[in-house]
Amino acid sequence: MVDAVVATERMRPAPRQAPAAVYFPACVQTMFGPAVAGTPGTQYSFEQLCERAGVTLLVPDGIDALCCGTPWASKGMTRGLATIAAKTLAALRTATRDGELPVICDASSCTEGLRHIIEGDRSEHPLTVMDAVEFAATSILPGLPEYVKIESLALHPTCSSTRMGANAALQTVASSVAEHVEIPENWGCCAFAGDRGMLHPELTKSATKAQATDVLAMDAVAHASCNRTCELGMTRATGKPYRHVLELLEEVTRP
Amino acid sequence: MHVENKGVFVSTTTVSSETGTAMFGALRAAVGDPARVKTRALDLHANAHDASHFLLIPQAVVVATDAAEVGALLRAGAAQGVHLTFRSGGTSLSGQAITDGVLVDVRRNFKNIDVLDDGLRVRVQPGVTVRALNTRLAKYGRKFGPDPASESAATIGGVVANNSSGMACGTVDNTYQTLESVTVVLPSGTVIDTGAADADEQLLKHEPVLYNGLLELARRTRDNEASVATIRQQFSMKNTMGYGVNSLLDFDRAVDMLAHLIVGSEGTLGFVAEAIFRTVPKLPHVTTALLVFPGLEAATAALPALVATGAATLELMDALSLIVGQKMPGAPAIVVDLMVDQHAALLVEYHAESPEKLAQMLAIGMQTVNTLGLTLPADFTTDAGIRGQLWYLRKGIIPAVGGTRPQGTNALLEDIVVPVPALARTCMELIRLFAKYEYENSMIFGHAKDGNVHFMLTDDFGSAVGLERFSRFTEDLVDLVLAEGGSLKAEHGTGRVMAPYVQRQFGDELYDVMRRIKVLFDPAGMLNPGVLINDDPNAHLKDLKAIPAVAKEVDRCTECGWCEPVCPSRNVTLTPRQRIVSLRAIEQARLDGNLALVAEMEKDYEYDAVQTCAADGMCQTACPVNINTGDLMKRLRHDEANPLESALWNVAANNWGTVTRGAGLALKAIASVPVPLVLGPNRLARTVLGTDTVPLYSPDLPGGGRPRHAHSGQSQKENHHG
Repeated sequence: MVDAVVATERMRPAPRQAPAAVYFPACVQTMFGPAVAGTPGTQYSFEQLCERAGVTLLVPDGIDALCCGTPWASKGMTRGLATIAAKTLAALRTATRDGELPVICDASSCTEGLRHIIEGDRSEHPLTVMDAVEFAATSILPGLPEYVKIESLALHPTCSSTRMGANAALQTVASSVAEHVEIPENWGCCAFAGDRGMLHPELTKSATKAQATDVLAMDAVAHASCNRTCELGMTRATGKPYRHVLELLEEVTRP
Repeated sequence: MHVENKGVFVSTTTVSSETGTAMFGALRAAVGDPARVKTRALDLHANAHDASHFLLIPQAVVVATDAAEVGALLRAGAAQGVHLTFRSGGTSLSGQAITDGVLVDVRRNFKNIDVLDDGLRVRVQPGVTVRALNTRLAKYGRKFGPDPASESAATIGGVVANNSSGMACGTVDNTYQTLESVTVVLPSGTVIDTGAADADEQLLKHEPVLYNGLLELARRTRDNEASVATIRQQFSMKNTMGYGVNSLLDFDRAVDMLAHLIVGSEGTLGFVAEAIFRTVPKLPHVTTALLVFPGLEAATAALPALVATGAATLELMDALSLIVGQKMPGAPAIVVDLMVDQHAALLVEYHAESPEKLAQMLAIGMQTVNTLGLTLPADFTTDAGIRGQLWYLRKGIIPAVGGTRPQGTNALLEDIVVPVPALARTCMELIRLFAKYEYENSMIFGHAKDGNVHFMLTDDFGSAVGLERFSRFTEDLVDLVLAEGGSLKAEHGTGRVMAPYVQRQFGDELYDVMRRIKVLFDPAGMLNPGVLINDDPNAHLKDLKAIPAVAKEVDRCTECGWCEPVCPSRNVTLTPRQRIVSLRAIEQARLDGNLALVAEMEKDYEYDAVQTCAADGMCQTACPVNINTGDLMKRLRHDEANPLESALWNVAANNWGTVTRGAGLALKAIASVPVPLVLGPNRLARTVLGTDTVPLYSPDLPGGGRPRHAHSGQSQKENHHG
């Protein structure tokens, strides 16, 4: 019921063209709201960007009950992982028309989690999963109208964006948001790790100590990453509002 | 051969529990926070291992913060009669950073970098990795001279202690050549900054015996023609055998001799709290090619001419290296397509400050290259992708061998240097020795332009057969290398593995000079005994590491330590290497029947290793054998999870929408409730259910987000008709 209300509220005239990809909004955006009160969050920002660039996406039915499986995997809950993976895989197979469309996820850890899920898929038509940042670098940036960049951005690549080789795309998108993009010299994984930073706050505190000092010294206009829980970890470490880089891109390109 | 055995330099310390308690008290009194003296079994075993094939278990591990504290620790150690070993990156290979005394961690702190003179010079502390230093210097168009392959994890402390070099720097830009001054803590506790204007006077004032002793040794060495000739010949090559006695010829002031003797002293003479280096230009334009020769002799014969063209690197790979390389995923096409017979290859690179200069260098290089009779045409490229593949081939050889070795065997990396004209026949003779001793997969590769090659021996060195084989092979190797006027360790340090052969390499007179150096600096033998100078002729056959099987995810780990700098838990609990070696220690204790030790370590392993692993997989991005320690930690979490919790998580999988909205609503509710009311019950739940189950809410978390929804550009159903 909640879904219906929100969907009605935020329904826009859908462009009548074939979708370019299946969009899998991550559930972390549901559990943890935006860093800055009153901002619409990553899903809305990404959809706005797609609309501006003339790109149509398709969100799978029943998305609310689907997950990339990372919360189970990180706790070693193999039974639960198998259950959620099967559900998610089946939904994606239908939504992608049996692998015809790529899947896009808007949180790097979840993108990586989805890739793990499809690794176990033995279909002849393998699914492809890309991160929203990678999709933005190739398919959204070229279609955006003229806009003015902000001056500076402190960027936090994540463990997942590093492991997936998505940092070049992240840098490209960040450089489209700000004139000067800087990654702290002591950059490292924040260790928030979904909920590990909440289970063991001392872990994130230790992992972020040196880079937090770097970030504060930068005194950047904005702070961005590409994964909601990492944004929480870095916000906690620095006191600066870390947001998904696509939320910032949406703001600077707002007509 | 006559071996003096005064017993001074052989470490055999064991302490009773009573003296242990007194010793721990003295160490705790020496540091600002007693909690930085660690004595739990898990701390001792987790920190014991370095990248070498040796293992000793320390009695205590101390995390030091500054030079003054190290001075206090040295005095405490002297008073308690326990020796100290400094450890930073733990990437050294010769057994120079392990101890059964007190292990002092100088990596966690000691992180300062001060760039001087717009990057031309830099002041840096021992805990900084070479990579971190180069990241800072890159902004100034400069880099650090030494370029060890382990740069991501190797730290400046070890670079100074081992006179590290690498594939490009040779003997021109190594540590010895690029060091300007050091701030050193001597075993007496005296701190000397050799860069101070009055440093020589200060040394005379505070350490007159050392000061006069160094000048006396310099006179003795300079007056001995044979010594001068040996030193000049030996140090014309990369050389990390024994002390850097070239310091006695190259410098006139005692304090400068001291600074340069510290280089390569492997933690046996003093602690380097800080050092100033001149930096070298970072040349951004690079072109690379793999030159394939019909045989080893042709490849090595080409070296002098190629060196003369100004090539920055000339990395040799023998036929076996190429065969192994062909099987690596992502190997370059030039190797994959080659029918390898007796071939050998040189990975050649030119570096320049501009594209024009690079083209000029390459043109000169090609004039030589075209005369070499290569098997395949030389194909230089500036393409980052292909260059990456070529270096992946070169750097992947060690892990390809070390990571695929049979379970229960250990890998040992040798590091010899001979004059370049002798390199071909030395390599041929090595291959003969591998056959004689039945060492399989011992490919030869390395820094050919300096006559410096590496090869790996894999064996069960713990078995009597393996040990005997290694002992006899080593004798043959020593004969071979020394007969060619070479050195048994070019850049990895003497450590324990070659300490018994320093005397044979340098002769009685210079060995005595080296022993005298040790006594001058460290008369009581408090620093890293058994390393570099060791009177036990079998020191290289003792204290070898056992590697019991523990888990399929990590059994191929070679304990290199490259994972440590990227691990987010490195400063709060353990690193990936420490997680793995602790498991091995627990398993070894089980095999030894020491169940009390097993229980003690397992008790602490749960939090230190399993719970505080972020499982982010960053370790895998740094691992040369592609281990994700997080995968194992996640499996251990599963094994430890209670059935009820497991069942609940399966219920959650079937009702995920409710759970995420629930979490979101909970956070929204929390956002409107005073903080202490939330923290109170939340802390209580953690106490009841355990801290690894209930997340600790804190007031900086945001409220919940909106539910996800299928309303985007098109919903799935809408799309079905379109």
